[in-house]
Amino acid sequence: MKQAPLSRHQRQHSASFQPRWSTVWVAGAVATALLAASVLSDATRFLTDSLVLFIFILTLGLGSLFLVTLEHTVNATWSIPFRRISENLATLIPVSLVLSLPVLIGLGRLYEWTHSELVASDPILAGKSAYLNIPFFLVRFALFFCVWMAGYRMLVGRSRRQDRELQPNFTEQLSKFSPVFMILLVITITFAAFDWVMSLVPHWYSSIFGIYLLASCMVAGVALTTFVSVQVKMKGALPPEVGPDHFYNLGGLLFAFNTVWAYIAFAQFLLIWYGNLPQETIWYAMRTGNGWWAVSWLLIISHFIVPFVALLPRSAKTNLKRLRWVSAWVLAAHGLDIYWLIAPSVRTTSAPFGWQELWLPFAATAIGVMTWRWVARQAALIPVSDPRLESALHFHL
Amino acid sequence: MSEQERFEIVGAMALYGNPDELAEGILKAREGGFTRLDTVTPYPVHGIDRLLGNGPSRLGYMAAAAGLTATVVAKTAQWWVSAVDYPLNIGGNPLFALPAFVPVTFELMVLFASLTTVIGMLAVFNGLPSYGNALLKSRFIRDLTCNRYALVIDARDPKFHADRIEADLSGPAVQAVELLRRERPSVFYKERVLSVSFLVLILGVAIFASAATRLAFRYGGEIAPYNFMKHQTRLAAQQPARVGTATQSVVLAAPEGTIARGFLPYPYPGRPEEAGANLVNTLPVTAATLGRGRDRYTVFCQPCHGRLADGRGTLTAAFPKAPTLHSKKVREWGDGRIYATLTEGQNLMPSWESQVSRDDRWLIIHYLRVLQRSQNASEQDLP
Repeated sequence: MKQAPLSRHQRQHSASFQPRWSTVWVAGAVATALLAASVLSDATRFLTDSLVLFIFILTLGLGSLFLVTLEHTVNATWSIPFRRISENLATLIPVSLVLSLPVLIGLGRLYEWTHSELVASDPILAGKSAYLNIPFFLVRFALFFCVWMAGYRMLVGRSRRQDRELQPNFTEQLSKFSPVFMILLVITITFAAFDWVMSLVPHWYSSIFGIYLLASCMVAGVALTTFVSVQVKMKGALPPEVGPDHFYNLGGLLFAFNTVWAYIAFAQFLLIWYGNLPQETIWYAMRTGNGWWAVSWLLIISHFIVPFVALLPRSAKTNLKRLRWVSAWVLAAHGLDIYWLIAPSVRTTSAPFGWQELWLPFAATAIGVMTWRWVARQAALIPVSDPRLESALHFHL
Repeated sequence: MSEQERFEIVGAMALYGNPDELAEGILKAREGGFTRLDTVTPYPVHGIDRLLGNGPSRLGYMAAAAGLTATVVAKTAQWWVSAVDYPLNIGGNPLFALPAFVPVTFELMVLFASLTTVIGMLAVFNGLPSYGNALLKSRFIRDLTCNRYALVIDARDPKFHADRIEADLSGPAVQAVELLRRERPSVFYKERVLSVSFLVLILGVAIFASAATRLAFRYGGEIAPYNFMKHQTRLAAQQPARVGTATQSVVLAAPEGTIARGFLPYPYPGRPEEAGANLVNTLPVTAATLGRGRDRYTVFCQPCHGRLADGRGTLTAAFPKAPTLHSKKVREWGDGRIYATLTEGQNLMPSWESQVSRDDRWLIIHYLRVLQRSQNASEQDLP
């Protein structure tokens, strides 16, 4: 049995690095008020926005879990001081299960393929009905969450148990478990993307769509981990050894995954644009009409060009203040990305944004802060008994 | 010449047994005021740049410049090729199709940036190739590529004094201190980065590689399975038909009297007057048929006979002048007589039988009648 190397970090969940409860109360109250008004104003619109919030929170959680899986798979050393933060943020997966309730209740208002009389009169939808039907949809929904929660329990549970039980071989177990789980994660995210987002326009299909959402997940997970890590570092809650070299890698990952997202997004666009076939271009036509043209450009600029330029210089990735605003910016752009993926598919006529959407950022903030406060007090902020923590703290480029 | 005159001291080197001792040595040397420091290690030691006080590398700026250059080059080249020099209509997309040009731009950017990074790192920032480096003559060069770590101080450092440097560098962890010497060049010596022998070697390698590639493709290319695709059972263009076994090839001649689909044999070869007397233009005169006639006329007749059939074609500078078709003779010819000329040719005019279909020839004649009437209008033609 090995002694924990850093007992001073063992129980560091004092209020010093925690966001204030008042943030949750204020954001939550504003979100609830706006939400109530939105429900009364237009129920379908509210359901669409609920789907956006559900997918947004879910992708943040899945991205964080993916990052943990990736770190175990490649046996990364530098990232160990940040791993517990990603593990904590993966708790957004079970939280998003609660957010899926309005969507599940309102399936009929969101998804065209749930109407059997419409499916019967449409040969294309009838051909897809073996996959797109409500019972099978719910079975898959349950299956996806079972897989994710099993992986969550394994990765996060073992990591926390290691804190107490000082078992170095958990690290080895997880590095063997992670590659297998990563394959499951990629498959489930692909089909979840088909089920929950792509089937909003059931006639349309794009085989790269699953990877698109996976790339979204990854950039969201890295951005959220970066944001929280920088916040707790600036409040002095991370060990002093965690310095520019660690954050350089985190910033580099953010830069890389953001570029991967742009690559995948452009790949999908290029093929559809070049093929120029009506059954494929319809999806982009929905995103260029009715004022959505400006939103599409906003997405390109905010989700690719601004983070790319802001993170390109080497010095930017070690500059904590820059990292903080860029990661927050990418999170907002990711929210816009999810909104852009979902809203125009359901709401084809009205303007892109209205006051009905105002509750989304408040709700996301309240849920994020609340989840973090709740989960961060359950364990130490870094995996204190990881056998490689010592070398991780002394990591240099 | 004495030993001291033949060699100049270019620096001093202190040898350490492990990277931690080297790190302490670096700190000590910097405390002593030395500024021109470098290290030699068998592998990259993390964090050593910071210990040496090196600022961030400027290599990134070179890579960024190369990437931007590649963007401009790729976009310009694709624009020139696809929109200016050889405009290609692909699926009705615009000639300057920005999204379609992105992949090539991206690839070229990666290529330029990575090549610049490698070459810049080796040639610009590390000053390679450097045959005359004094380190190569060091007694410890074998150790330095294996299990020893050296701190090198450049002789141009203001604190560097050849007589004091050994004392300055020595310490408990230092295994040896060596002065690095380089042979002073003679007055006839001219320093060259690329020696003649090196260039000859490069040239030799280039010739050998080209010849080997050529021979390999010439004689080695026909090796299974790399040529499977080339050998297929279907007939290639211009290949004689195969009858019976694959080895027995005969040319199949068409049976006597065969008529190609869509063609009818011309009944009056060499007898244009007879054709004029017997052949009739049966095609209707409508806006559509006249349009088709004008289109075919513009493609096949207009270059020599001119837009108005007045013999002022665009090719008259290079070709003998074609006659006007408004002469009394041509106006009085029947349609069949003109058809005979189009089909068989006349004087310098070639036969158009193989290029202009039967119907198109008749439609050209319809359009020619329109031109003739337009240029020889009478008073009754006025509305």
